[in-house]
Amino acid sequence: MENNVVVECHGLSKVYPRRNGAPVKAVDNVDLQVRQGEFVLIVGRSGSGKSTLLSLLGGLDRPTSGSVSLRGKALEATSDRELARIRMENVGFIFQDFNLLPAYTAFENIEIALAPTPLSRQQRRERVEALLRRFDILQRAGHLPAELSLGEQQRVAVARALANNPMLILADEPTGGVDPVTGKEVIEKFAELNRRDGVTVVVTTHGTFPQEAASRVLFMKAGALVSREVLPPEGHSRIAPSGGYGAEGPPRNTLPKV
Amino acid sequence: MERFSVLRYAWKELSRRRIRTLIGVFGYAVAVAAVVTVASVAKPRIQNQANLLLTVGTHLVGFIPDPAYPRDKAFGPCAQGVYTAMMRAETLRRIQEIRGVKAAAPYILFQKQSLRDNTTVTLGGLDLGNVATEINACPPGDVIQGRYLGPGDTNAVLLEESYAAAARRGVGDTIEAFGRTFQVAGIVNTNIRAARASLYAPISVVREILVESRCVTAEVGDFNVALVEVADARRMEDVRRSLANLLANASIVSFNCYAPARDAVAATNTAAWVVAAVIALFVTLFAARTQWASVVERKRDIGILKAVGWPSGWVTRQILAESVLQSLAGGVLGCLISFLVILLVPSSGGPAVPAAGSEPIVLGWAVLAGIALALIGGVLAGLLPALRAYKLTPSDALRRL
Repeated sequence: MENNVVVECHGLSKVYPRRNGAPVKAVDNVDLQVRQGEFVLIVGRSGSGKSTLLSLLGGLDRPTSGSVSLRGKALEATSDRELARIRMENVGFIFQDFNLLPAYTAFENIEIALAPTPLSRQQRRERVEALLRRFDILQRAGHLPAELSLGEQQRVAVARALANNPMLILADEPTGGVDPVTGKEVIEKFAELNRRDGVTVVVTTHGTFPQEAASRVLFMKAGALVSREVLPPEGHSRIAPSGGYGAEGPPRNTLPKV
Repeated sequence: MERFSVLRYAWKELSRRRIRTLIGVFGYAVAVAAVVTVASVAKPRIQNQANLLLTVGTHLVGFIPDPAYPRDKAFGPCAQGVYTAMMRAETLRRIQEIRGVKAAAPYILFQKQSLRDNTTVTLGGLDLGNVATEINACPPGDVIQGRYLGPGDTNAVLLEESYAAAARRGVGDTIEAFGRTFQVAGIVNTNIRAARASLYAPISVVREILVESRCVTAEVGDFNVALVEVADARRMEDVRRSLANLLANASIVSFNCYAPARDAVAATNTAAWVVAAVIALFVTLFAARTQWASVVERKRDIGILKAVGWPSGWVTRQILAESVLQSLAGGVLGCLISFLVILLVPSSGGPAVPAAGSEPIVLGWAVLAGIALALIGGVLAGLLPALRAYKLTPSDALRRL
């Protein structure tokens, strides 16, 4: 395994049994390797298995067969508790509709990602405020999601995903269900994360996400990757097309590592 | 850190679902108030009533009818109108060893029939100072004139009130009976006691008379009626059975008229606790249902927490903490409600009510029991929902339908 590989899977499959009818093969024998600093776009229609693949890559679910490893650590062999720790330390998730907790303020929605860490309350506060400041929503810290615009909600979701300074961002249809203006903001945000912070990004989309933003575009159909296409990293001068940044990786965001 | 976060987020969830939380808290409060009130008010009263009833109707009289006793004899040991066999001191010792027997006393009941006017006079031999004697035959409290008998009274008797009136005798008079002349020490009214007689004398004196009459042989310690006092009315049947096994062909006479009242009190007691238990059960089930619904509704939130790195154990503890916080709040509120109920609802009088100075108050142990009940209810109600939250995988929780 190359040491700049962030996440990779081999022969990855996920089958959902059904009470009535044949089982559904959501992910079918997928091989994938994502290197550090890459911006991978997975394109496919609804039901093609993109979200399931993302869940498996991020350790949100366990495969029926095949293997997934994150930074060389095989996920299928780890306990649930260990898996939670790996997610917390390495992966930031951004979901469609952003999935903010409706009863919690913007501040608290980010803080929950820091709750399992050994940080003190003061340290957590400082970290959350820094993120809110970075995404220009500090003044909205005490607002509930329902009181925020879609763009602000999206920024809170991104801030939450970055709270633990992850090496990998997995975003599931981040532009689905938002207006074009917010969608553009989302795209710019991911490009910035990848370009400025060097965070490895994997985004799924059913077509609303511009392919030119990504360094690599994969197509998914019926649970399988049907073709691969490496696009030139236009405007992504810091992304090394053939293998990322090397073992030390690109510069991370300026927040101290947890 | 973990404990703080879990409690903080549990509190936040409870605050978020304010109405549902208040309903849950109120449910627990009603259950705890019911239990604490029953324990503090009803239980001591019921217990007092039960205690009174458990100490009455606890006497048994055992004797062995002797069908072979010559019918033409005008005198002999008897009980309940029939001649009886004599029993040895050893039998009394074995009766005293029966489980549930508080006291057993030897008693000699000796009767003499007048062939002239067909009247019967009975002489009871008292084992003085024995509880069983006093309850079954003649206690000092039954003396209405004169005095009770003492150990040195070899020539004195007590007369039953009706017999004294018929014989026209009073305290200090002498009376000829059973071949002896006695001085009347006192007049008694023994009312309905099981082993009542016309005259009473110390058992040693009556045994001498029995021997002198030559109708039966009797050694020191022999008796013809066993007077038994049972420790607790609930053991009556057991003692009665044991006594029947011990004394072959015996007649066991008891005054079990209090049993229905005793059973009624026991039923009331049981009913009160059953009602309290049913309330507690329903509240726990209701709380479990509410908590379950909460987990189902928050499936997505639980998925988010797990996705950002919360271990399943944290989520489980948060669900449990929510349930326990509700139940604890309900427990405390229930104790306060119970205190107000006891304070404001007037208590009715009656012999079974505790005496002045011991009016019902919220009992310390009842409060502890109420809080413990609420806690147990909270844990039970939260257990299944917490388990469901534990088993939920992040991807399942976040999957869109």
